[in-house]
Amino acid sequence: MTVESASAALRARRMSVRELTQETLAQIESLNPRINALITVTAEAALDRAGELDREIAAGQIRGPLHGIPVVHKDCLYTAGVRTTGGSRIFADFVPDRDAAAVARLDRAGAITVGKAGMHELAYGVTSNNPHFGAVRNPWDTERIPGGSSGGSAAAVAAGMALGATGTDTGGSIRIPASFCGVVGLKPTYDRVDRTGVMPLAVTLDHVGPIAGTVRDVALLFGALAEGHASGAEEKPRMGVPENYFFDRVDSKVAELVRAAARKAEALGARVAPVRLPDAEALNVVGRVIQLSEASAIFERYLARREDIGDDVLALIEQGRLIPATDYVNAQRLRRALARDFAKVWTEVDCLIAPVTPVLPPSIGEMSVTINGASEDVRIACTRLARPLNVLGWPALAMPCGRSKSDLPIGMQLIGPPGREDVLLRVGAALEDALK
Amino acid sequence: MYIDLALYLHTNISDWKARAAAANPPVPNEILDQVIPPLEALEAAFRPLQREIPPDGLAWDGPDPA
Repeated sequence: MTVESASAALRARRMSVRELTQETLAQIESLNPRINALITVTAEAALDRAGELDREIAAGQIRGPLHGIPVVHKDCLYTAGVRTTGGSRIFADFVPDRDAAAVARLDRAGAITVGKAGMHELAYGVTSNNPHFGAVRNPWDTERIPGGSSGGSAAAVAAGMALGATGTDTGGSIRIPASFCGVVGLKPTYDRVDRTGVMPLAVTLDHVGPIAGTVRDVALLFGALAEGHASGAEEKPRMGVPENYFFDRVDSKVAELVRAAARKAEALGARVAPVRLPDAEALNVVGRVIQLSEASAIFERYLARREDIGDDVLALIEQGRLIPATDYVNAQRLRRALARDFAKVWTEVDCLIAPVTPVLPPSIGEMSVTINGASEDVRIACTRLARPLNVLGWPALAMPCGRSKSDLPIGMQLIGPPGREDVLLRVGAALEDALK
Repeated sequence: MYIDLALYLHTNISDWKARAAAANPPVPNEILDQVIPPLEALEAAFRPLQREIPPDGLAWDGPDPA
């Protein structure tokens, strides 16, 4: 079931909100013990809310396409009266007194919160192998990671434990799990979705966005999450396929499927052409200096409780503490210079197409991956095609483009100019239909 | 190796070990092997880029509208 189909069924009274909520909670009860996608389930509150929304429908008051739609929120988004752990033992008992702005917006649009999604500790990693709340597992192969840090959000959607979810993305944390779990995730333009009430990781790299089963469902969620929408996407968009960086050191099947999707876009009428980009590796380097510095500025205060922090996250916090402020400032100056250089690509094309990650989902506990014979650290490998877009603040839509021989999902990302999520959602929806 | 690299880059390469010891609180010795090698690699990539900052370069303050 999708947000679209559920919404149509609710409006046509073929199903009540309560029935949809009960069905979702039953799925959670059945699958969460195996997948561990949710840290907290809010069954009672969800059923109360379902009753309220059913009464509104009976009175002819339908809030919109998200009326009665069950969603989960990444556990670093504040939820009033519901604990918000950030995937950390430090916040294991933290109960906010207010909702995050994104939660409040979905709530006003009629969505029902059925739970809080598991995540990499403090959103600082890509595996969602959480030492405090257990590993979130990939629904397509429970011995593999779902990606992260929004691993629970993507796994919950993939397993039918919610029709939509929120996530955060600082270096790929919406797009990587969307790709590994075979669902769709949108990292919007920087600051397009209000971050109030979201536990920060890196204040100038963090983004909040939606995850759902289809591009159109993501568009519906994004419509509720963001203020103002650009429109007027080209009928025949110009799509650039990067000649450099984004297809370097990429698993051959991943590269093959993304290139096949570009050919499909061409067959649909897009004008597809190779483009040469400036130095994307420099964006990665700059992004890592910034992220390490900003994250340590936030988390250093918790080092008094270092026994409550997982080893991988602790090492990153310690790394960031040692970076001089002068390097941080110069990284931000470089970022601006690089961003101006990269922006020139939008005179040539309307969007770019590229892999989300160079690899298939690694096994839980795996520290390195082998790509075409070369070994690489899992975190560095998984983020190197995603992080540059956080540094630029550009929107990027992750969506499935096929499956591996071992039947694991493979994702691609459509990348657009700032503020032009509409282009990505339009091209993405057309491609999604064509790739079915 | 540090000295050669510093000369090549015309800049100082950090003594991360000394910095770790001087931090407040200090970085525990037992995790230095998880902390220092990644910083050395990152610094080696970052220092050459610094030279590309234009003299009038300001800090990033959000994406420019398309």
